[in-house]
Amino acid sequence: MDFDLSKENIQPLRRGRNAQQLEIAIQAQSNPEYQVQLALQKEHFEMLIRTYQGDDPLETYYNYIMWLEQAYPKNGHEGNSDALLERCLQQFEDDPRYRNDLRFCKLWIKYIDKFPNPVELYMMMKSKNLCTGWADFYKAWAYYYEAAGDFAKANSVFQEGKKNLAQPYEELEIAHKNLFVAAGEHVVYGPNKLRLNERRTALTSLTPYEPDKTHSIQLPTSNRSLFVYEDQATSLSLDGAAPRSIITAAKRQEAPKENTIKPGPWTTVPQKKQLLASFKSNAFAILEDEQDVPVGCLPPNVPNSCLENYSDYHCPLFNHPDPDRPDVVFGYPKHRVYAEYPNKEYSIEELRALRYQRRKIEPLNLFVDHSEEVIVIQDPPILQQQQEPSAVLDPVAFGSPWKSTMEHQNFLQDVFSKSNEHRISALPPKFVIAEDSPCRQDVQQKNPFLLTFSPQDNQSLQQAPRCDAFNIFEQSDQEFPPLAPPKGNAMKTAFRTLNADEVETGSRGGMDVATAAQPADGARPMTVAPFSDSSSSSCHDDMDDGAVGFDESCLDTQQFHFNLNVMKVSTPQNKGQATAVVKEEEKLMNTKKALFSENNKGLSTIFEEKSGYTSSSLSSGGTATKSSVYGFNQNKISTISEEHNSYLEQNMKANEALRRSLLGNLMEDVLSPAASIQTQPRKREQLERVTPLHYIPSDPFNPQLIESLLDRVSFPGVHAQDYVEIKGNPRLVKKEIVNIGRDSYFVDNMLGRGQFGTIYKATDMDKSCVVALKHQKPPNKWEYYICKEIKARLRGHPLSDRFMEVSVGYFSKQASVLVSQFEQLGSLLDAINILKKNVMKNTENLALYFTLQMLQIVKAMHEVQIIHGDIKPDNFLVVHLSNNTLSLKLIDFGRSIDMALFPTGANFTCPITTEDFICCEVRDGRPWSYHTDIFCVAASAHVLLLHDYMQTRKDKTGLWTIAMRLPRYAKADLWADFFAACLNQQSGPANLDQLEARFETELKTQQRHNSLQLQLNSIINMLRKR
Amino acid sequence: MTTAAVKNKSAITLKGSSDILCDYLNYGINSILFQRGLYPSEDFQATENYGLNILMSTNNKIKEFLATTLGQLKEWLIKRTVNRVALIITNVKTLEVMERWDFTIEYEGNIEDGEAQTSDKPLKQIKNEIRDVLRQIASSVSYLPLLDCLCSFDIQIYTTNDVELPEKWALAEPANIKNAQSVKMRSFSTQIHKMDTAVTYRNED
Repeated sequence: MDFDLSKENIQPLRRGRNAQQLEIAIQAQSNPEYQVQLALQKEHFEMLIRTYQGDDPLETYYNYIMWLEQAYPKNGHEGNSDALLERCLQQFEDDPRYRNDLRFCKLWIKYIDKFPNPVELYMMMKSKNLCTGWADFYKAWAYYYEAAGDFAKANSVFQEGKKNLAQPYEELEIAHKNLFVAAGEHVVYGPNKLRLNERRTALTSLTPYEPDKTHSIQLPTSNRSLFVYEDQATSLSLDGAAPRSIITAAKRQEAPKENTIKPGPWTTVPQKKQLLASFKSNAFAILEDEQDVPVGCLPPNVPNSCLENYSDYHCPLFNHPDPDRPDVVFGYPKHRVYAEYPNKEYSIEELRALRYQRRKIEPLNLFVDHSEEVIVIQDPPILQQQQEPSAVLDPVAFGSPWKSTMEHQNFLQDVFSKSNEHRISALPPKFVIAEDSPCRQDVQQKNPFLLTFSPQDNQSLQQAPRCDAFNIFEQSDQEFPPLAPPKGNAMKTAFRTLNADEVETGSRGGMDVATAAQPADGARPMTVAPFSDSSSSSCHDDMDDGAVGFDESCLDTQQFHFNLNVMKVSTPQNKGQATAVVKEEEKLMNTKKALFSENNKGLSTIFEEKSGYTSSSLSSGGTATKSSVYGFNQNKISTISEEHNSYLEQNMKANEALRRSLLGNLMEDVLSPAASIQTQPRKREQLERVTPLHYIPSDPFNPQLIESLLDRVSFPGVHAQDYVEIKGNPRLVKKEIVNIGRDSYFVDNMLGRGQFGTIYKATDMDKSCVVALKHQKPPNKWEYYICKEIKARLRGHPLSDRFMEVSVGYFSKQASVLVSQFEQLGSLLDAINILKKNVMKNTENLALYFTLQMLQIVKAMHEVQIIHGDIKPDNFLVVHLSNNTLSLKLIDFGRSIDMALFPTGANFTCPITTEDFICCEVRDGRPWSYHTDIFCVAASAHVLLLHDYMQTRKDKTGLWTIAMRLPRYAKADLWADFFAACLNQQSGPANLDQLEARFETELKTQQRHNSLQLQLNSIINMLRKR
Repeated sequence: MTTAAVKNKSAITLKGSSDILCDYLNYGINSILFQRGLYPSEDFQATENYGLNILMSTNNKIKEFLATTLGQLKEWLIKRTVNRVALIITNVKTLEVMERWDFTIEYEGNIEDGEAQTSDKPLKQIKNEIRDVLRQIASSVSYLPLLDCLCSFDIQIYTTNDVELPEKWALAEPANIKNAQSVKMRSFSTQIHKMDTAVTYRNED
């Protein structure tokens, strides 16, 4: 048995160690098989403790602690025996069964050994009458006195033991006599002997040999602490008041040691705290639905909304109305509010109305109920579409916290009377002009009618409502007079002042559109009538709603959040213009508009009536119009979207990119639900392609876009087989068995950590195979989707095994774990590093070989319309094939783009940020699609060939070339052509077939063919040894 | 015949092999005495051998005792009458055996050659083997139980029955340990003698 190499890692034990167990434990430090064994045994012990039924629960604990000590010889954190010991002692401290149990006594001695002042703890034990019948107890106690040279006290301890007739008595007797011998020696040899004492102390208390150097909480340095007691009275009083718990006392002693933070300036802290507090109070106030408190409480200098940057603010409501969290109890009937969650959301009022109506058994109402159902099924798409042309109407939804119109009105009045003043002062003077009375009325009227929305809305919005009511108003003023031509400048200044709070500006922009659109609507006159009898009767509300042409009534919070997201920091500027676009269109399609608004009215009335306000006659009218509206709107949507694009291209070239992104986002957000409903049936039938989007978003990596695309394909959809929903965030701990879902994995070590996740090597306990676990937080469903899509689309293709295969994907709301095959040889980057280190002569063969592999893989992937988006040597794994050659496997599809979901010929403009892998298209500002992958293949090939990252420059003719010189031995024309083709893709993505063919023929030449296999073999060996 | 000449030059005789064994035992036993804390560490002095720093006792009594014992042992080794040497660690008070170190000797090679037997194993290799064993002995503290009582040691030599007992020597009962557990160390060989080292200790609980 070879312990000599690891003896420093073995903590000596008073009772010695079991050599067999020690051997296993030592081997387990390097051998995963043994590790698994240990972990299994450990689990077994823990299970025993959990399920113990008999009347000696200490037994299992004792065995477990003893085993832990043997199995984890380092006595460090790995075994976690300290915590277990503490738990055990705490549990049985007051158990009368174990008051005088030998095992218990041994555990106590073990525990107390860990503390710097054991004597005190022994005294406590004595006063609690714990284990006083065992010689071991007195021996251990007396030892600490003896070690400190306080033989008198040690003697009194032994005498106390003898008085108590501690067993075995002989042992105590011998120990006592030994004490005299030691005391005699001490006196005779004096200080010379002290060092021996020290040595023995170190041994006995089982500390390493230099207690000062390795001093830690766990390892007692008895000398030092004990000297403190030396100066006490020589007569030892062994009794004291019994503490309630020794453990707590022991912990208390330990506690201050942890608090070793040095004092320092904390000048920055108070300020921070204040900020936080002010935020909090706001959020809470709204949460509680106390409408009058927040307004009154606001200090005058509160910013318009808040100073935080919401540019990448994700509203949780968009897809998950309110995430299920164990620590939150929802104050509303969530299951009922979101009964039909993706499509619709009910307000509390609606739910009440439903109940109310159900109680009233009248034929008329039954009919109403029926119509309601119809709406529920078909409405959402229509309504969402309708919203779109008038851009974003949601601001009104900010009114949501108020349950009744009356309340709301009250609030609004408050807002206008109080908070307006300081708001206005904070804004540029331009806006102060905004005193247009009809408009104000408008706003006032519009808002009240609004149905209530679920309170959780507000949680996420925090203080938005207040600011909104006002801002909406002021901006609409701005917009009103000019109507058609957008006032770019004015808008801009406004935004500059408000710059940080996009949430708010976003909503304001939406309101602009809404109000601006109004006059253009044929339905406008209708608004007037209801206004005149402006008592807040229920009927009035309905009319109002319809007339204004808003869909707020059916606007759900989801929708609303959507739009919030859309409005990004920079967009408000465009919004002005965007609304103009909309308006233009509205002019063009006036007739349609009219219809549209009328429909709106009908629909909204029906909706309203749900809450029990309207008469049945109105509702019936609504249902009548509805079905026709549906079809119509769908058509309209597509035309509008096209027009958007054409309009932009023709007339507004200056701000093209920005605008497109805005419109794109707008469109996609509003569109996607509708589209998904359209496509769903088809998908179920043939399980094939989903209809692509009608527009091209500028940023294909936008999280919202990804979400909506996943919705579109009704993820997990066809790939549900390996999709496992789990709860919580699985904690992957090295060298432990982790249960994910129903499967358990033994996590071996961490392979890598990236920006988006961590990769572990693990053993699947059921299949006993080695796998790689990719743990991502937040969950990455997209990668799973892409991997599965590639596999599905390439089914039967010879290269289908060149892509990462996800065997199982575990998803929860917090995190995801993808399970894929573990590749022993590492990545292409590892291979390159080895090549670089070993200075292999002429690696061109390998470079040719791997480049060809990469080209083939990328070609196959592009054929099925997938862009990887993050190709680099690290993302190719090297796989050893059975015919003793190497192939590559593409992994990490977290940045991939599924072009099948976009219109054919789609291009993107959003920049890529992987350093040294930014394609020339991005640098030139040209739109890109498949180009990036091809460029990145070239960059990877460059690394392969020249062992350095590719630097590019533009030559005189404006073409991109690589900055480095090709090595002399290299096949210059081939490589030059290759780089030229991959770097200059101005006229569309490079032709991969051609390149592939040239590489193939080059590799087939006799000379290369022969040396290639040799080089492959040597690199396989080197990678193995890695 | 250069090879033969080299062989002859580095050949180890039976006597030389016995010397090597006794040297090893001397260092090994001293090392154990130090490692197991039987005597105060001040009584030990570091000596370098086998490429290791080995602590040797400076206590004259111990030195004398070991010298006589090992001197006698050497004779018996040459006569090939020894089977085993055991270092017994006992509790002074209870006389209970705490630990036993067994050095088992086997005879290798052409035993028929008698005293003329030689081995051509390089000395350096043997020393390396011994070094490994001594290292293992040093590392044994990591698993051996703590000797927290006053202890003393004794050496027992197991011989064939036809051995003449020297003066001051006595027959002894074999030292047995209750509930014992044994750990075998590496062995080394001179190709005349082969020595196995093992420690047996009380396995508590």
